[in-house]
This record gives sequence, C-alpha cells and structure tokens, in this order.
Amino acid sequence: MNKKNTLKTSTALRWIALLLAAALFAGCSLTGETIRDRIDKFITAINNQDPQGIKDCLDPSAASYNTADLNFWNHYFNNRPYTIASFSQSGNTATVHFSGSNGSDLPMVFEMTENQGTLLSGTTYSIRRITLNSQTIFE
Amino acid sequence: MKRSILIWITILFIIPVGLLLAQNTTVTYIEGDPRIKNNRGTIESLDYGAQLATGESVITGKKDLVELDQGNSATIRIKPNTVFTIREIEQGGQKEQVLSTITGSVSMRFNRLAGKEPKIGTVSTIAGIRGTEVTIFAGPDGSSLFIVESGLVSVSAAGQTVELGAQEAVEVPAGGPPGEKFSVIGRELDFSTWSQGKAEELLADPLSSLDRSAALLAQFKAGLEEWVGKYEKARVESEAAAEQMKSMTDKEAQNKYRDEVWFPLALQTGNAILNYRYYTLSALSLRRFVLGPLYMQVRTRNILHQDGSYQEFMNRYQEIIKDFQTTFEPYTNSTDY
Repeated sequence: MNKKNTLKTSTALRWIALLLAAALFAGCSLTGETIRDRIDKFITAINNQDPQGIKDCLDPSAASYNTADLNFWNHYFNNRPYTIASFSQSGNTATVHFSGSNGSDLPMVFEMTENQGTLLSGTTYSIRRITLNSQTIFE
Repeated sequence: MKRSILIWITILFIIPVGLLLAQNTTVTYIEGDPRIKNNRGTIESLDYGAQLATGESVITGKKDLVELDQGNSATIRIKPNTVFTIREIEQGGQKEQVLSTITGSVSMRFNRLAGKEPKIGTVSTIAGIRGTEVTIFAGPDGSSLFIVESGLVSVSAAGQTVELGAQEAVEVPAGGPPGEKFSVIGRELDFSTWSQGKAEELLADPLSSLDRSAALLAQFKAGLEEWVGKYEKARVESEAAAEQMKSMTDKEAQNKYRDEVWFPLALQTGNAILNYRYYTLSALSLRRFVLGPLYMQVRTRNILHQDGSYQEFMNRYQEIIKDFQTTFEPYTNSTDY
C-alpha cells in the first residue's frame, strides 16, 4: 500500500516538474504580471495612501520619479477611492477610465516600461508616462 | 518660466555632465568593488554590463574605478571616492538626461558627431559643452573644478558665466560665481591633491564653508518659496473646481467641466508641486553630501580640543540645520530618505 502511494507521488512530482520545465522553456513566467496587474497595484496604493507602494509602480527613469510625492498624486486622484471602470491595452500603452467615489470619470493613458525578469520572476511593468486629456502629468 | 528653470538648474545641487537625450548608460569597466545605490534606496555591488537608470548612483571607494558608456555618444570615467548620479531635467520644454557628480572626480569624453551638445556642472554650477574631453572635480566643501582638455565649455554659476577653451580650468565655490579661469598647460592637477587642499581649506575655515553652503541653501529656499506660493494659489482654485465638478450630476456636463476647467488648474498645481519638490530634494542633497560630511570632519578633528571657534561652528551649523528642518523638511517624505 505504502509502496503504491510512493509510486503515485513520485509520478505526480515528475509530471509537475515536467510541466514547470515546459512552461519555463516556452517563456511563460511563474510570477510575471500584466499591465493591468500593475495599474491595479498603482490605484490600490493611491487608495491606501501608500507612497512607497505608488513609487514601486513607477519607472525610476521617469524625471518625476522622486519629485512626484503623495500630495502630487492626491491632487489628480482627489475623489478616492477609485476603481477601474474600463481598461484597454495596445502594446505597452493602456487607456484606463477610473471611477471616483461619486462615480466621476477620470480617463488616463499609461505608457508602460516592460522589465524583463528572470525565468522565475517573469516580466514586470512600470509606469513611464501618464497623460490626461492629451497632456502629460507624469513622465 | 524657462528662465526660472534655467536658474534652478544653475543653482541646484546637480553636476550635469551630459545633457543627452535619454540613452542607455552601461557599465563597461570595473576595478575594485564599486556600489550602486538603486532607486529603492538599497546599495548593492555594481556589476559589469549593468544599466544605470535615472536616479541611480554609482559609488566608488578609494580603490575603485568605473567606466560607463552611452552608446557612441559619451564615455564617463568615475574615479575613486566619487558619488555619481544620473538625473533627468526639463529644459526648454524637453526632458534631458543629466549625469551628476555629487562628490569626487569624473572625466568625460563626448563624441561631437553623436548629436546633441551635452552640458556639465557641479554642486553650484551648470556648464554647456561644445567639445570632447572634460574633467570635473567636486570637492568636499561643495566647490568644484572644471578642467577642459579639448573643446569649449561654458560654466555658469550664481548668474555669472565663464567660457573655457582647451587646457583651461576654473574653480567654482559652493554658492558663488566662477573664479578667474587659468591655464593648465604644464600643470598636473589630480583630484586627491585638489580634494585634500579643499579639505584642508574647509577645515582651516569651516565657518566660511558653512556660510557658502548656507548661501546655496538660501537660493534653494528662495526657489522653494516661489513655487510653494504658486502652488498654494493654484491649489485653492483647483480644489474649488474639483468640488464644483463633484457636485455636478449631469455626467456629460461633469466631463466637459473636468476637461475644460478642472484639468488645466490641476496641471498647474501638479507642476508647481514637482517644482518645489525639486528644490527640496536639492537642499536635502546639499545637507547629505556637503553639510553632513563637513560636520563630521570638524567634530572628529576637534574631539579633544573644542575652542571658541569650534563652538561658533557648531552653533552656526545647528542654526542652518534648524532652518533646513523648518524650511525644507515639511516638503520631504519617508521615501526621500
């Protein structure tokens, strides 16, 4: 009985290892994220008033990376909490409509930097530029 | 607006080396064990082939040497005991990359054929380059020395400009205008000697060094106050518009009001915040890289013998720090440290 169970476990582990190897070989990541994931984290950090969380979502090569503080973000996101009402993506650019606490609409375009990670960490994204009404508010 | 941006850059705690369009900056040579301070504030070993992002710093120890390449545009040699940072500024409505030396010595060779003319600077200075090879020394007292090997360099500080040709140099004190230019033909200037001389001058007259830093902080303070004033005005109008927008029930009218009234005011406010933060972070750099080390050196040197001038220095230092805390700290946050 024990021998049978050991055999089953061993076979299952082999299958798991094989699937993981195939996924990694195919370029799939185990922990990578999408642009939508990153923007979710960004708006969550804004809603939670978490300055480090916001900064973690930004591309460090943006000129305003250090100067854009919580006060700066609160000024644009002044009707918290926000949810994502609609999201569309073309390449590394996302058009997002945020909905404020009273249902107000805040449309923003996010240009994202794609960060190539390792096989295990996968691709991540950071915010390189944000435009509102065709004007750049952050870059 | 453009003029004021130029003035900030001139007085800011930046050492712009290459105002090049955003380019990849790659580590191509390493000696010793240099470090990189990344944008999350952690310090790690610098690896060969690493790419430096804006906001990151290379820190070399006394036996370290690092060479960076920006494609075929520039080669940057970071010498021992140097802190070197990449920043980005807005000038003439365009974002440009700035390579900034906080302290130490950096030599640069720019390829004239690569396009845009770069600019260089020091703690209190900015300079435009029309040439190829230049070395910058940034002293422990916030002063700087520009040595041009070939080409032309235009050095500006505290509203005055000096044009340097090949084999010419100029020294710029922290917070002051450039001194008289001098020829370096037949003279060998190495950073360790110059820096040692500066350190000795600084320790010989630490009060004057404090005063120079205080003068620079006063310039930052003036910039900060100007933009905080603009911010307060814009904020009141923007917040009133935001409240008006929130009270609107017709979505179409609300969106129209958002685009035509609220957003232009919000943009003004946001830009004012970025501007006053720029002065704040520059003052913070000055405190960290000039005032802090100066205080430590004076304190260490006088640990056994604390006379009246030492006390005077400490009182003046405390005064400056108190002013810093009152003026700039309210505009800093935990992620700045």
